Amino acid sequence: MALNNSQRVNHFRNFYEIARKDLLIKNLKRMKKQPDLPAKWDFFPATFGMPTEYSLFLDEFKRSPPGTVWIMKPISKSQGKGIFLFTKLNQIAGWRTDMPRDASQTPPEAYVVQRYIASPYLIGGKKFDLRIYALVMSYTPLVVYLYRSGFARFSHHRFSLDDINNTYIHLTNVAVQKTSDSYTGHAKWDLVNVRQFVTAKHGAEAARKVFNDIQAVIVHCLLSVQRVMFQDRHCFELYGYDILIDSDLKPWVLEVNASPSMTAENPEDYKLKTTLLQDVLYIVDVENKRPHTAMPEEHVGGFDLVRHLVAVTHPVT
Amino acid sequence: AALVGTNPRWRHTQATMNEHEVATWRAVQASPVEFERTAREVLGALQSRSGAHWEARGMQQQQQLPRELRARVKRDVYRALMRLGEHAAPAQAQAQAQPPHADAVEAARCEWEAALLAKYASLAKTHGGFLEPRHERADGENGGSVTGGKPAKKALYTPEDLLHTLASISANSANCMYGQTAFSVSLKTPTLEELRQHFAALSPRVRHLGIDDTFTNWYAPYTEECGDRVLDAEYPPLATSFVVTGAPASQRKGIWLAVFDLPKATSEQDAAFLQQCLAHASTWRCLHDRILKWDIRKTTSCDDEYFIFEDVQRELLLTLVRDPSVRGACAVALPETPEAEGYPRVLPFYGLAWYCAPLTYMFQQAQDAYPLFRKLYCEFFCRLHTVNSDHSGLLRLCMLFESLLAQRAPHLVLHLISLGVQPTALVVRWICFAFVGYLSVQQILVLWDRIIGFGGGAGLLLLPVLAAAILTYRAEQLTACTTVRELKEQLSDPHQLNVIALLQDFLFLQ
Repeated sequence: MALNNSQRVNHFRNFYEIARKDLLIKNLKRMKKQPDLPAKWDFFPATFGMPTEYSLFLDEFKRSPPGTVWIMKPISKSQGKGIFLFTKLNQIAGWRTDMPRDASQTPPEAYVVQRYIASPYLIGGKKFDLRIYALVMSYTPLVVYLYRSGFARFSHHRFSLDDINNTYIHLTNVAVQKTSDSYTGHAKWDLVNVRQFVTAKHGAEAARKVFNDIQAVIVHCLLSVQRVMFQDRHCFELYGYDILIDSDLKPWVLEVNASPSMTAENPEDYKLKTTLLQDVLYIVDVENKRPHTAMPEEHVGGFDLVRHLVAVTHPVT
Repeated sequence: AALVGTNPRWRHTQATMNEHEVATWRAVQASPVEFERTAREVLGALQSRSGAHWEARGMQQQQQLPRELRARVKRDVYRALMRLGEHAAPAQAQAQAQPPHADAVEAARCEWEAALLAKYASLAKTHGGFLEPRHERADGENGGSVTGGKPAKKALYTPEDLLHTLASISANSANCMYGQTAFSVSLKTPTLEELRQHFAALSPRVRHLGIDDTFTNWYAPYTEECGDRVLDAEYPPLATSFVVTGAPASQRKGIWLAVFDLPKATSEQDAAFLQQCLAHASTWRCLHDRILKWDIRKTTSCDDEYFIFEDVQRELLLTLVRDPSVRGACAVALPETPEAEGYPRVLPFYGLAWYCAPLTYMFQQAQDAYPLFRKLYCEFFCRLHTVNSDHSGLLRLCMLFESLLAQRAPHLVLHLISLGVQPTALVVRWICFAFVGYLSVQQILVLWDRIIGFGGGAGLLLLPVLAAAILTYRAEQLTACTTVRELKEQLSDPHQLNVIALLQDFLFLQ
């Protein structure tokens, strides 16, 4: 079945290559092994699929200092379901492959284990992660737009490593924070405020570097899956990146969502998401109403073009 | 690099510094008494403002002092002048003629304070006493907050209550302007021409952060360089004249501390005092603490921009209500509360938390923020929520707002009144809280740079000017509204507003 010119699909056929945590890690690791890379490919923590790579994980676990915290995430669940932290091997006994297993036991669910980022950047003593939207119009050539107004999702509790079982401290998903007693209906900050805070604390140069690094990290992720994606000119995709900044102001990619949540918690949220969708549909241009230009426009609504064959630089980000 | 926008107050100080630096340096070497005497002479010379004064004394031309020594001398002379100025100021204040109707305002103030105390006492009766020792009990709340207990049901007063009190001050002679003002006292407010002269440093001919850095590439790094030099100099008048054109975000903390001559690192005394107050709050369940906790829950916790820092805000407020030096340092008289244990020094009202919220963006710890917060409160914010006839008090600011709006957008005023809304009622919250809770944090800090730069007496006049500017800017949409709800909706999105552009447009470009 072929699509005609006025039909669009909002997913690429094998989007799971980037949306599933284990496949994304596989692609990132594969890219990292290549000899001449444009930059350092170290924006994802050490990750292993479970139970398939249990022995590799075991080696890494023994090499790390005792007391290192690891996080287990189910491969394709959302909203923070099924995620937990651990420090001892017996807590993940269900995924062991070095002991024989009964045929009657159900096989363990597919998970991914990652080294937990133990020193995240804290604002007001609280952990947060960034949600950044990236619109990919095509993979070959890679055309990516980044949305300027992402947001930061905060935990409502002061961060500490003393209690690794307290999901309210460690998981910043809104679905998890909503169930906490301290939830006041407000858990999000606009990116502008994060930038203001970082500028006031570390200077304008550091803030610029952080946001440039985030942009680079997002594009590198997409470059990793560029080869394996089935390109189709009718396909586009809006990704929601979850990015964590650590205390050295270095960004880490936690995961990429191919269907980012569009529900709104409060009026500001609603305004942000409806404007986002409006801009997406304007860029996608299903009715072919916009004039065709050789080079795509650099700024469309809230989106900035960051990649078209090569990186597009903007003087003031 | 020459800095534009020098504060007119300090211009003559800079001109005569060179002549007496030498004499002062010699005096410092001699004895403290000699130094006082020389500083007194300096003060006399500045007040008489004549260069001939110095020639008569036979002062020699400036010798070449090393730069650091010159800077140190400047700072010492400045601090001595400040000390002497404090003694001289009360005499000057009494010498000013009392404005008409000031006694009506005074009477209203006494009545209002008495009512507040009575309300506070009744709140104490309904909520279990002024203070009681905190019993040992299991802390069920997550994280354990500093104050506990049931939140007080109602605040002592809101800005709307305050407006109502001010509007009902009646004077003997009715002197209403166009018959459309909310107030029946007549107090003198500056005219537009006087404002233009006073705030000449805001003119579009002068470059400002907040507007010039958005369309040029070089202005922001240039101001950062200038800011570095200002921070090195540690000279308050220089910092004041610099902050009038805006402080770069990464240097704002240091520059605001320099303007008020506060040390860069918190002194041990201040840190210890804060700890003492927090310890007191955790051992005693006080009524005012509960009111503050309720206030924070209702105001800053509900705001996207400030909810993260609520523990820092709580600590700052707890210390403020226990600080005995606040009463004496305030620019206006605060409501008198008895010296007994359960009474706060500053009566908490709805929205006290807004005053400390923007500071939490710059300081991560309450003990670093507290000296600056106390200074800002005593110089500026205490005028905004009390009843008095001070030149920058809430009453005069609202009257100034009305006169400005009537001058620039009379059709809007008529339209609002026809809908049954007093224009002042729309903006009283903005003025009372210095726009915290309305504008975004960046714009608020840009505005507060200017307020601090122009000083306690005049800086607050920018608040009604900005309020009038916002309403005039939206005049077309507002006159098209037919219900009060539409009015509120029109004013509910402040994200596009640029403070400096609005002020410049209102004052200079129309």
